[in-house]
Amino acid sequence: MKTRRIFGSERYFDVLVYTLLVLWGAAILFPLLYVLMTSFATEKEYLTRGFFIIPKEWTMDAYLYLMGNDSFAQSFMNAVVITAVGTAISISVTTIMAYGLSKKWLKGRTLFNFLVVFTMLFSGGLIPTYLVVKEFGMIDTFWSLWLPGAVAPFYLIVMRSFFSSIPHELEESARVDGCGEWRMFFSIMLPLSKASIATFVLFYMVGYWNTYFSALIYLNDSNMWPLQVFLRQILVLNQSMDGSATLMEQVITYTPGAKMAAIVVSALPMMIIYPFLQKHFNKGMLLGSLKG
Amino acid sequence: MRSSVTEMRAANESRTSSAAAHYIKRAFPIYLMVLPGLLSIVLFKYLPMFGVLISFQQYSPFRGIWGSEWVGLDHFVRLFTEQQFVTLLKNTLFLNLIDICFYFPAPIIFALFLNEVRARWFKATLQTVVYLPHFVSMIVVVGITVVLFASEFGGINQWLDVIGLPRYEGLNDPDHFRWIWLLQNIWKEVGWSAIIYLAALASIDPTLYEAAKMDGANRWRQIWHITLPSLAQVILILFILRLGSFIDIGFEHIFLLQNPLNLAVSDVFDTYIYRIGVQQGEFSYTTAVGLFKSVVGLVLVLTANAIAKRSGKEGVY
Amino acid sequence: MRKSIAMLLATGLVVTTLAGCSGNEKSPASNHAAGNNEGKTDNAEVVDDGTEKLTLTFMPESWSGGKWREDHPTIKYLNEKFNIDLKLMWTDGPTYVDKLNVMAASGSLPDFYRVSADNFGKWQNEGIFMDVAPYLDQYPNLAKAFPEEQWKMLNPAGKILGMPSWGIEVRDSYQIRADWIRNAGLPMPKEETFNVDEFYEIMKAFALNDPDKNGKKDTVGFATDNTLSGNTAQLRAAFGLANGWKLVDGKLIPQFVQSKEQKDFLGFLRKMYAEGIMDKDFLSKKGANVYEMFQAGKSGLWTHHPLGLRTDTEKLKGIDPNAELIQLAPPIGPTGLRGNPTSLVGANKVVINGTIDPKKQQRILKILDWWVTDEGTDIMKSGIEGVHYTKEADGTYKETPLVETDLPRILNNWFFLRADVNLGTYRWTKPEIAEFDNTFNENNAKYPWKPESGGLEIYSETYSKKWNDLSTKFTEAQLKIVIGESPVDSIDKAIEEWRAGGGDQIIQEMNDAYAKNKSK
Repeated sequence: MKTRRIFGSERYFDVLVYTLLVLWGAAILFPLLYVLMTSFATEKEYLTRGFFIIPKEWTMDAYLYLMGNDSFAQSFMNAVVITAVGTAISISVTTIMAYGLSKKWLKGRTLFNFLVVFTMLFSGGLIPTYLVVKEFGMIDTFWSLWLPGAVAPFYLIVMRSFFSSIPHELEESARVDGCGEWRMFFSIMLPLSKASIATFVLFYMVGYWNTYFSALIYLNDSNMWPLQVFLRQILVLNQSMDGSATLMEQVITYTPGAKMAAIVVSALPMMIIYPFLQKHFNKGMLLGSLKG
Repeated sequence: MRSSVTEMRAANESRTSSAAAHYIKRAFPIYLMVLPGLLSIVLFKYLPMFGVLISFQQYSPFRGIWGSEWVGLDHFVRLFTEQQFVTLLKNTLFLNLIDICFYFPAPIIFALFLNEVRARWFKATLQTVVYLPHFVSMIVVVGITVVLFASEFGGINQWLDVIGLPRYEGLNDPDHFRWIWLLQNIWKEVGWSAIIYLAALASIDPTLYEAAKMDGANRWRQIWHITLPSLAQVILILFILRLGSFIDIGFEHIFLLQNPLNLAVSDVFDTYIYRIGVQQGEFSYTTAVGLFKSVVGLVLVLTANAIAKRSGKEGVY
Repeated sequence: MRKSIAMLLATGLVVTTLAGCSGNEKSPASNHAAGNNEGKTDNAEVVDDGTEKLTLTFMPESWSGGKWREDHPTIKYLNEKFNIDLKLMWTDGPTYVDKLNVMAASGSLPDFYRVSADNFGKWQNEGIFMDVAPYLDQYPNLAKAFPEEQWKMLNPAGKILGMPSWGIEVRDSYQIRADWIRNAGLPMPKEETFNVDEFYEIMKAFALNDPDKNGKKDTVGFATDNTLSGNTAQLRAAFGLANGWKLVDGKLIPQFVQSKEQKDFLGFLRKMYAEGIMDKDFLSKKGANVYEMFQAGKSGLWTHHPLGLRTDTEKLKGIDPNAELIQLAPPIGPTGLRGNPTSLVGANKVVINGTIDPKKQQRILKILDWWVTDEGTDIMKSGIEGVHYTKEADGTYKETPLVETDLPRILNNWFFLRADVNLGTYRWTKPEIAEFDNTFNENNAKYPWKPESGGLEIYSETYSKKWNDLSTKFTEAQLKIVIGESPVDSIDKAIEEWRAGGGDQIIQEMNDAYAKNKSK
């Protein structure tokens, strides 16, 4: 009798959860499909048909056009380098710092933490930051993108709280075994924190991948610009033509398909990487098994 | 008696000095770990902070900070006596309020629900789909909204016509502005924001659930007694940090939705700064407005953090 | 582990650099002061004989990703011709101003660049722009490349700190679907008599009479955006509104105080909106969306240039093979006024850095003096013969596919160009197209609607503080009238508020600047 009641309520629960999630998924999926399919549709269809999911006439023109552009290959490579090295730097610096600051016994910990939080609220602004970056001789180098943003305070704080949630006893027992701090960090804490590290690797990667404003400010050499700059120039073109309002400008016009293709291209690398990181979210920190 | 006291004291002293040595030995590697990140923050965040000085100046890029004319609190007086200051404050607060009430919990709820899904393929697919809108720029999100909801040729209205339901004509209605803004935010970012919670959920000890099941707790109770408490710390931290930007709403999205007719509900500090300062190159004034926002954020974070700590939780610092 | 060591080393390096240069915060200002003196004293004696190879940095804007590769044939040509090493620092158009500001603050401005009118106003006393006036007679081509009034505009008396960043004054006019007019059974408008009533009838037919003959009510009449900018200039001109500012009895007055004209203009739009002639969704549209409706064949009127007319015709034919676009003269208003949208040309400037080696300055002037000749402009527009175009057997020219990617025209069109309305004709342009463009431009120029402020806004402090904000509030009142939420007379209240909120002060400051400028 009792088991049936639980079983019954479990069923309702499942139905509720699945229904809501399917509805939410659909609300997300359809507009996304529209973006995706527009990139395969002709301009005529985009202009005349309004909202559609399946194009009547398929074309790869938008992609061929984007990739045929001189800037594409180079800026893509730049973006890969910026993202790969930047993520490596950021995640290393952030992880060890977050781990260090998670030690409750550390003197000066509150001060350090406050210093970090404070930078989320106050910033010197564009010009002073530029002057500092310039004084360090980092203009026209990728260092100007990597070092100033090496630690994202937000990620650091969240990561720190992940580390603090790891049971204290674990640390103590490791210490009894004669583990040094660095060894403990690498051989015990890191494997335990795969989920959180994967999360912040993803966040940093996306952050670096989407870099465009700092690249425009710090990189005078347009050959060093990352892909996002190129894609953004395609997207925002029509909002800001005032720059040449008096010229009979044969502006390079991009079709709506090319704009949507730009979005697809900018999301693609992250779509490819996401599944690799996602499996860590599901596995968890293996805490249970360790304890047992 | 007395001798034993002095002995104890001596022992204590030697223990403290050796404790200090021990502490240094133990803490040194940790300080080393904190150092690189701290350096980056000090050099690239704190060093440029002399820049806030320009909010007390009439800054000229050629004279620099040391050469520009000092004007005291003029820019702040201008801001506070600005005719629409109250409107700006009201709109900013209202938008942040609905954002915190509806947008902030959304990824938590989504993560909780997703956590209850057993079918692996469904979970993985859904997770992949919902995080994607993060990559669609706001310009496009706003564009799609118009394609769908425009009153004359919008996809939704054409569809509503077909099935004979009344049309939706609220897209330009200033009263709908806030909710459209909120829904677009939720649509775009919920999947992405849920990732942090999903990572936190992954660290819950599965044996806890097994024990709860043995006790006959149903799924609601498991969520309430196990899942939510495990997320509490992350939620608290994100909440406090969210308060830090309570008077900061982000420029691009609002700007895209703004038109002169909905200004009464859509004008916020960021769009005001854009109109007044950025377009007109008024560095000092925009910095002053930014400083005002920062101070408000700081007060909120300090307060929230103090409350959190008093109630025995770990705050953000 | 290795990674973190590398990181430590890197941060260590940074620390040492910091120690080495922490006293340098002042450098931009001091650099500039030094450069300033140099620029003033030595310039006069320096003669650049062209023998020294010089490195020159130009900073052009890059729009929609367009820029030149490093080994661009035109750069090679310029390098050889002028014995220079030309560095083009392409800068993203939308963020150009930010970039210019950080470069100014750090004392690293390029040798030759563009500045907007307001930055030109703010910066012209800083001694960072070269005064070209003393040398202009050495460069006769350059001297006559622009009209006198544009040379002088906003420059201090007797000096030329900035050269005009040129553009076509009256570039655009209405383009209308001729096939729709025929389908609606209306007579084709005649230039001499076409007035706002006729305009109204056409718009009405476009909205209500199924002009595309597809049996569906899927077109709009008059389309504009949510700031009332798109397609409205001709109507504003017809109803007598100022294009920004207007000279009345030697006084500058802004469009915001023209009560009667505002009422006529807004009343006209209000009527169209109430009768379903105007796009019902215009409040959610920005400029680009309005254009898209036109390109999709959902509206039949757009304001554009001749090149736009050609490309749009092609697009529209894909949707409707009968589509035909024609240039439409601006409608005549009740008092006989008419005009096409007109820009103020000459207020934005192209400047030579005043703090660089005088030899470089002279070399830049030498290049510009060549650039504005027929020969120079030809190369800066069409590129290099044999690379970007080839000569055919019949004596005509043919463009090569490389034009698509090399974009030989953009440095001319986006950066520096002489006063010449035929900037869109290239070596390979067919004579009939060149002729068409020419006629189009001539037709436009017949009906200018000039902004009469002369760019003096930059001297009004209240303008820079309040103008945008006041305009936005005023537009709010206008929109309420158009959609019927407030009566037409409510514009008087908006005018009152505009004046009280700082408008009167702006008018005062503008007229002071005007008087001062006149006496100079």
